[in-house]
Amino acid sequence: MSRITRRRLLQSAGAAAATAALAACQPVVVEKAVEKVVKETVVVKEAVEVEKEVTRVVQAAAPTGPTNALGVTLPADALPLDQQYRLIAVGRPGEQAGGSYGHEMESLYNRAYPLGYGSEVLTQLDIERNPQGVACESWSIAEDGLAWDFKLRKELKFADGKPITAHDWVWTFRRSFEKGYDFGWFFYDILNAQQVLAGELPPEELGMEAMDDFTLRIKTKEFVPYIPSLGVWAFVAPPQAYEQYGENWAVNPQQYIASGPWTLKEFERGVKWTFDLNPEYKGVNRPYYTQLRARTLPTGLPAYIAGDIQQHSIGIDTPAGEVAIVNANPILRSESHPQPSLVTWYIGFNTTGKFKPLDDINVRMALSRAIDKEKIIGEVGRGFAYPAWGLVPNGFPGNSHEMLKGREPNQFDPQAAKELLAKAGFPNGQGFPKFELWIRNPQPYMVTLCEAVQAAWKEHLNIDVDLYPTDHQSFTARTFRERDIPIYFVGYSMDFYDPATFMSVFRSGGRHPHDDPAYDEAFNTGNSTRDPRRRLELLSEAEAILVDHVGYIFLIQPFSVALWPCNLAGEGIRPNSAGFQSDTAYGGGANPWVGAYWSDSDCRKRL
Amino acid sequence: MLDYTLRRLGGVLATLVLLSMFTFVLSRAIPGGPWDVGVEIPRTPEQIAMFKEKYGLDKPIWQQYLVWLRNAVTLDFGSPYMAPEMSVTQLILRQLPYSALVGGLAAALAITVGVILGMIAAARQNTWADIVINSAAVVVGTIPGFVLGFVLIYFFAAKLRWFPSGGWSDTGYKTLVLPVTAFGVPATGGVARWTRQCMVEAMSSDYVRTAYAKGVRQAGVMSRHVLRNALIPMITSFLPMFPAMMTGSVFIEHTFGIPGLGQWFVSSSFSRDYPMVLGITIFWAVLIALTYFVTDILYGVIDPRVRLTEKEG
Repeated sequence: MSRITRRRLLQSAGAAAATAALAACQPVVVEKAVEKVVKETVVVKEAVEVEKEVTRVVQAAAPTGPTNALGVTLPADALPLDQQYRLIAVGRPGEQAGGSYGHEMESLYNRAYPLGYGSEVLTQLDIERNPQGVACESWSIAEDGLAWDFKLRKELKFADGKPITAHDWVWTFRRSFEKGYDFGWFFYDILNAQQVLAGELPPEELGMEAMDDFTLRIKTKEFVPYIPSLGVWAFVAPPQAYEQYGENWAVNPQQYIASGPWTLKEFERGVKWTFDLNPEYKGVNRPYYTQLRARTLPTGLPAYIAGDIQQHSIGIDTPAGEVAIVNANPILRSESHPQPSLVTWYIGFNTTGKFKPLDDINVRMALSRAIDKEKIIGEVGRGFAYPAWGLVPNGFPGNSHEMLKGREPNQFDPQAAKELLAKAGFPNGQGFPKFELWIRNPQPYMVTLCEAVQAAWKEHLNIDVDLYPTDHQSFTARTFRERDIPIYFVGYSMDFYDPATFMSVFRSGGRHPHDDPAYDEAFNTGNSTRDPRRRLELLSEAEAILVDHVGYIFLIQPFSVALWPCNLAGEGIRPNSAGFQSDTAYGGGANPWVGAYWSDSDCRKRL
Repeated sequence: MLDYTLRRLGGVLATLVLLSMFTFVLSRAIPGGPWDVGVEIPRTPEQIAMFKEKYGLDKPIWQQYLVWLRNAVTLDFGSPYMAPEMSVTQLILRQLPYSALVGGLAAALAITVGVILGMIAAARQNTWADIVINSAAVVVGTIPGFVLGFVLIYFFAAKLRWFPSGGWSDTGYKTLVLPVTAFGVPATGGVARWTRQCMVEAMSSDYVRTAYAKGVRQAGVMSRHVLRNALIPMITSFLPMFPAMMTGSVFIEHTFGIPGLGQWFVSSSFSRDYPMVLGITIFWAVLIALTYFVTDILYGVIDPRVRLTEKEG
């Protein structure tokens, strides 16, 4: 199994930038371009040096700086407290974090803030992406593997002084499921969750109960090894807030009852909101920052250079010129941090029988083998993407990238593709229906990629498809719910660090118009296997079935390079064992902004 | 005049009712619904039923419309799905000032500078000044505001650090300089060219020749005869610029991070926020209708022939 390393990602990005810049500026012979690429890989060396420097600063800093409202003492090199704020862009209306409700368990897809600022989360991921307790101090599993007991921290209180108990957690989940929680599907591993959400069972039947005030039990139908990881999306809500103020309490600072490290200070819909430290917080997420300040912000590299925004990222759709600017500037290079790929984009087929002959595996195999993924992704991805050989992204825990590369659907062979199509009754594409290929919320590269696929099918199979870019809502309604779209291009990204985060969604009867009982059985068997090593092996075999049956053609796994100012310091942003850094430090679903602070450094002076 | 005003107002009301009916039906005919916003896994039928019941979408569409119409008469357009803690009217009135300030200043900039340049070009017809102004007007008129915005940000925010690159912060007027310039300058080109054209047409009229023949000086001819007659087509074009610009440009607002109404115009459609779609459509229609209504009245003030025609009619 190959792993993505920081070095490899930077090499890819550097090479892409150099190539793009050269292509944009002047025609050059290939040999020269290669020389330039090699020269640009200096980026890697310098970036590694910066990485060491960050480590050194962290080790050298003594805890003698100012102390914030939570009693956290900042390191000696920290800027004053009034400058220890994190600037965040207010979510635009219609975006996931520009939505209606302040509390995450009211709605996840239509929420007003990013997650977990004012609400305590059950667990979060450490920088190695392993779950660790936040609202709980430990967990244990019953011998039969069907019940998890989470020992809650007794010192936790809501901001109004009421202790946070297991009863509050149970109340939160029951209420959400009773109200048709839009993210309820994520917790379907919990016993009866699906039936309660559908209204078939009362909320009291949900597999979650308070064993005592501080023991929360979560029951499952079968062994589910990643239940603690699901906790990164589980937030406690104050029942008393709903009783007093109704469902909109969490967008009103006067009514806000925090349980996490932050509390709402001001909220002006679509304009700004601010979270201050919650002085009543007694939990483990104790940030250095003193304020989260969300404003409507400008976007783009110039705004980042001007210091008007604190984060920017470059990726597959970034103009070549912008990538070149970043690569040419040593300060911007040092502020660049490659991120892992956490998403897979794929073509899906409606195999329900509505669109014959897409229910014929020979046809789907032909369509798959007519695509030269390495070549297409190499050109479209510009160094910011991997070809996808399977569902689980390259570098993600439990991925089978190398093994899946050798599977038949991933073997580009136009002649074999033609023969398969002829075998299905369409020699040289004759008589093959003209289908639409729907693209969800297309970014420029997605359209380019689908055009390349369209061209490949025409060139190698003499098949025509119409591309149909569309918005999220129309796509969801037509493709997934009404299931009357033949071919579609869409992506799926991780929610927690386990292959099941991707694979569970591809089970029959889920989101896609493609059923595969063999995959279901293989996945379910693998997923509930208690031996971790054997479990991953079985899941890998299940993924191979998914690839082999070609209900989907997995195409591309993009990644980005995040930029943040070089005076950002702290133990939370140190690289993990895979070499990746994140300015959001710990997280998962929630991001309490722990472990990072602004240091008093002039490293941006010459920017 | 009263008859005329009443007839126009009646026409406006009928238009608004038809428009609301059309928008009401059309917005619900688009695939998907507000329950699909952002979801990765489609909601179950039970979840959708719950959503519909909560927002009254489970009733027949004609019934929904009549309920909406009854409430709209009292200016109650409901609550946006995207901002359930307030009403549509409150939301529009709260976001409008941001767009109105930027758009109003940009429109004022465009009209002031554009009219002056157009007049200079017309007065100096076929001279180097005319050529320079005309050429510049064509160039700036063809640059999209958001492209100019990025250029301005690069030079004046990232390089020179004279102004913030955007956002709505505590830096006072400085925040306004770049977005107003990016929004207003491209419109200036169009205003200058239209002003020049109107002035040149007026200048070639018989009454101008007569005025010159009577010995009126150029300044007097330009202000009393040319400008006054050129004002009619100019008003028709320029007044509607104000509501168009004051209700916000989604591109400018996105580029500079202005929390205006423009982004709500777009996102309410994508999010299938039916109350907001209808509220904004009606608001926009009222604004346009009022603008043209005022334009018509001004016509009469500037050109007495308009009133005579109405009387004769």
